[in-house]
Amino acid sequence: MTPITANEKLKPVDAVTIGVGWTGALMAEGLTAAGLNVVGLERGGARFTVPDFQAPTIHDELRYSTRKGMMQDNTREPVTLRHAPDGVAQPVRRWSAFLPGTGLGGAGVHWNGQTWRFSPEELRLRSFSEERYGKNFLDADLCVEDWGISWADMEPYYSQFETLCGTAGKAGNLNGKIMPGGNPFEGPRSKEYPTPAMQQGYMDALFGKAAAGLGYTPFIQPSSNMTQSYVNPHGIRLNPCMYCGFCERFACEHFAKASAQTTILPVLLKRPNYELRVGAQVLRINLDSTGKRATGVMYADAHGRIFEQPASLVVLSSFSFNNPRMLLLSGIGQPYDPRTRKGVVGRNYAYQTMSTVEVYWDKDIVTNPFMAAGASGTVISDFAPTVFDTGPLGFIGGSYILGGTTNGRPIEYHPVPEGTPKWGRAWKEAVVRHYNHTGHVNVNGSSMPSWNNFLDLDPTYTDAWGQPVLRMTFDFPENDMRMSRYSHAKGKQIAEAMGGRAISEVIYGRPFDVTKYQTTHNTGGAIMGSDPSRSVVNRYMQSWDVSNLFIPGASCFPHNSAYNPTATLAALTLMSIDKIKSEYLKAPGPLVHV
Amino acid sequence: MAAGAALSQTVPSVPDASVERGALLASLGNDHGAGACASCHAFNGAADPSGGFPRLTGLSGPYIRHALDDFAEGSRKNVLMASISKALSAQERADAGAYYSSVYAPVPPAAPVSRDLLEEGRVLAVVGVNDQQLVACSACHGPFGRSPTPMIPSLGGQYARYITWQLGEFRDGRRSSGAAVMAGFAHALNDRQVEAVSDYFQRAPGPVGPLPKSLPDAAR
Repeated sequence: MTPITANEKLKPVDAVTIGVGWTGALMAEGLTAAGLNVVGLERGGARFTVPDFQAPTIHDELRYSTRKGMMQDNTREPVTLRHAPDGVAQPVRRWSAFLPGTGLGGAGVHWNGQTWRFSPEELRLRSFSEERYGKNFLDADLCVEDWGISWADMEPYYSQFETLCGTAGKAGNLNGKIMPGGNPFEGPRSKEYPTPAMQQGYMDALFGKAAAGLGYTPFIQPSSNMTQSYVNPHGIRLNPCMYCGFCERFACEHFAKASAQTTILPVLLKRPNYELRVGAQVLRINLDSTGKRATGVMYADAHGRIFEQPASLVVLSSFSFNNPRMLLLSGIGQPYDPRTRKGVVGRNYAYQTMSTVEVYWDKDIVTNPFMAAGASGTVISDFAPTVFDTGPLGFIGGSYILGGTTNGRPIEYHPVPEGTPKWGRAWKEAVVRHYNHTGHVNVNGSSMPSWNNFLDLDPTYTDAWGQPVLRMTFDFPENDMRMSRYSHAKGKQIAEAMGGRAISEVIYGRPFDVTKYQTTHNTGGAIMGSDPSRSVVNRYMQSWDVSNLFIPGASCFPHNSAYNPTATLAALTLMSIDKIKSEYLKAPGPLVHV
Repeated sequence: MAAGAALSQTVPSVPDASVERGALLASLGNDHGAGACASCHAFNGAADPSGGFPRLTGLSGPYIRHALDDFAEGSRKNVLMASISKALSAQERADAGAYYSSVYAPVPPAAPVSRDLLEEGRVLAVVGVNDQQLVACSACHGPFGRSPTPMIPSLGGQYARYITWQLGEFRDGRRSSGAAVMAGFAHALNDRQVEAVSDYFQRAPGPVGPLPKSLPDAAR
C-alpha cells in the first residue's frame, strides 16, 4: 500500500468515527455521554432539515432520485462489479441497483423508514439449519454462519432503537403472547411499539384483504415515519408524517422520518466533547508497529490537505461495504481468498433477492400512489426466513411480501402492462390509463452468503485519492433463486386474488443486473461471529485483530435477512456501546477471549 | 385486521354547491337557527381585524365546508360556530363555502410593527427553525402566503390576532382537526414567535379572491 504522509498531525482525541450516519452518530452519542472527546469525520457535507431539506426543493425528483443527489459520488469513489471470481470487474459509474448514501446522516437520511427485527432463529442460522434439516442440507457453495448472539441479547436493543425513533407499529408477539393485528411470526418483544401503526392506503388494504382471504396474516409494516408527534428519550420532537410520497432517495422536510438528524444530532452537536468535521475523507486507519493497535486515522479535507488524527479508539462506521474496504486499505485482518476459502475480510458479502408483481385494475379502483409514506404498506411474514418449513423445498431463507403504493412520483413511476409500446402516444395513453389504477406486490427475499461472493480491492481502478476502489464479486446463489421463485409464486397468488384485470411480474435473478434498482441492503464483508478464523468482529463489533477498533454496521451481518437491516445494525451498535461503556472503557482490550 | 376499516372508507358525496344559495345564506342565514354569515364575516369575507372572526376571502369552498363540519362534530371547539354549523345542512355548508370562495376583497393595510419582529416572522414562515423542529410554514401553506392546496388554508392577509388565537387552540387541544402536525408546532413556538409569525402573515400578500366581474376592463 502506498504510504500516506500527513501535512499536519492533530491533537489526539479519545475516539474518532469514520462516517457520521446512523452507526457513527449512535456511537458518538454513547461515547460522548461516557465523557470521551469524540471527533466525527464525515466525507460528505453537513445538512439539516432546516434549511437543507425544505419543500419544494427537496421534492426535486430529477436531482435526488434520477440523478441520485444524496449518494456516494461515484465519479470520485466508484465500485467495480463482476459476477464470478474468475471474471473481470467493471466500474459502476452510475448507481442503480443500490444507493450508498453520503453526507451527514448517511443513508439513514434517504431511507424509507422500514424498521424490522430479524427472525430470532436467523441469529443462529447455521445451527438452526443443521438441527432442523441435517448437516448436508445447505448447498455446498453456501457459507452460512451463526452470528454469535441470541434473541435475548438483541431484544432490549431493538426496543431501545424503536424508542429512539418513535417507530410506529403493532406488536404481534408481546412477551410470547400472540397479538391480533401484528406480525405473529416476530420474536417475542418486551414492549409495544412506541407509536400506533401507520394509516393503510387503499391498495394496501386490498392486498391485506386478498392475503387474509388466502389464509395469511397481514399486518401494517413497522415504520419510523411518525404517526403522531413524538418526543424521543433525548427530548427531540418528531412530527407526524404527511404521507407526501417523497421518502426513499429524499430527505424528509417534516422531521417525520427518523434519522441521525431527527433523533440524535440535535443533542450530540451541542456537547462540548463532540466535534463534527465534514468534507473529511478518511484514507487509512493507522496502526502501531505491532499491527495490533490503531493509533488514529489519516484523512484528506476538502482542500486536499492530509491530516493525521490520533485517537485511542477508532470506530469504522461508514456505509456497509466501505467498512471492509477501509480494513483492506489499512491492512487490518486477513483478506478473504476464494481459492483457499481462507481469510475473513470481505467474505459473506450478501444482498437481497427481490421480485415484484404489478396489478392493473380498471378505473373503478383508485390507488392514489402519490399519497403514501416511505414505510407504509401491508405485509405478510408467513414466508419469512426460518418461520416456515423450507426442508421439502430445498432452500434456506425466505421473503416478506408487501402490498402497497409508495413514492409514486412523476418521473419514475409509470406502471404500464406488458406489451405497451416503450414510447410515443400509445405509451402516454397507457400511463394516463394506469397511473392511478395500479398496485404492487413486492417480494423481499433473503440473501445467503456464498464462497463465491465477496468484497476485495480492485487491481485496476482507483478513486480520486489514488486508492484502489472496492471490487464486488456477486451473483445470486442457486439457493436464493429457488427461494425467490417459491416466494414470488406466493406473492403472485396474492396479486391474482386482488381482483385486477391483468398483472405483470419481474424476478431480479441471475445474472445480477446492476442497472436495475433492487435494494440498498448490501451486507457482510466484516462479519461478526465467535471464531476469529471465520469472522472479522466479535459480538460487540470489536475487531478481533485490533481491539481498539469497532466496526458497526450491516457489514457485520453473516447473511442478510429478507427484512430491512437498519434496526438490526442499530441494535447491534447499541449493544456494542453498552459493552464499551460498562467494560471496555474501564479496561481497554479484547471484550471476547477465545 | 385494519383492512376492513380502510376498505370501508368512502369519499363523502359532495353536493353540487351553489354560489347563489350561498349568497342567500351569507345574507339571511336559514330557518333552522343559523344566523347570517355576513354579520360577522362580512359579505366579502373580510370580517374585521379584531381577531374574533377570520378572513374567509381566498379560502377554498371545500376547506370552508370542512371547517363547518369540524365545528359541528366538535373537533374544532367554538360555541358560536358549533351552533351555527349544526343548524346548517351538508348542502348549506357547501353552498356557504362556494359563496365565500367566489368573493373578492382586498387585504386592508395593517398597522406598522417592528421590522425585527416581521423579519423573525418571515424566517419562521419561509425558512423554519431546525433546533425547534419547526418546518417552514410555506412548506405546506404555500409561498407568499398563498396555499396551492385547496384543503390547506392560505395565511397571507389573515388577521394576526386570529392566527395567534388559532395557534393557541391547536396548542391547547381545542382544535384537533386537520393536520396533526399543527399541535406540535404550536407547542414548539414561543410567545414571541407566535406574535412574529402572525404579524408576518397578516402583512404577506394573501389571496383576494376572484376579481369581481363588475370591474371595468381597465381595472382588471
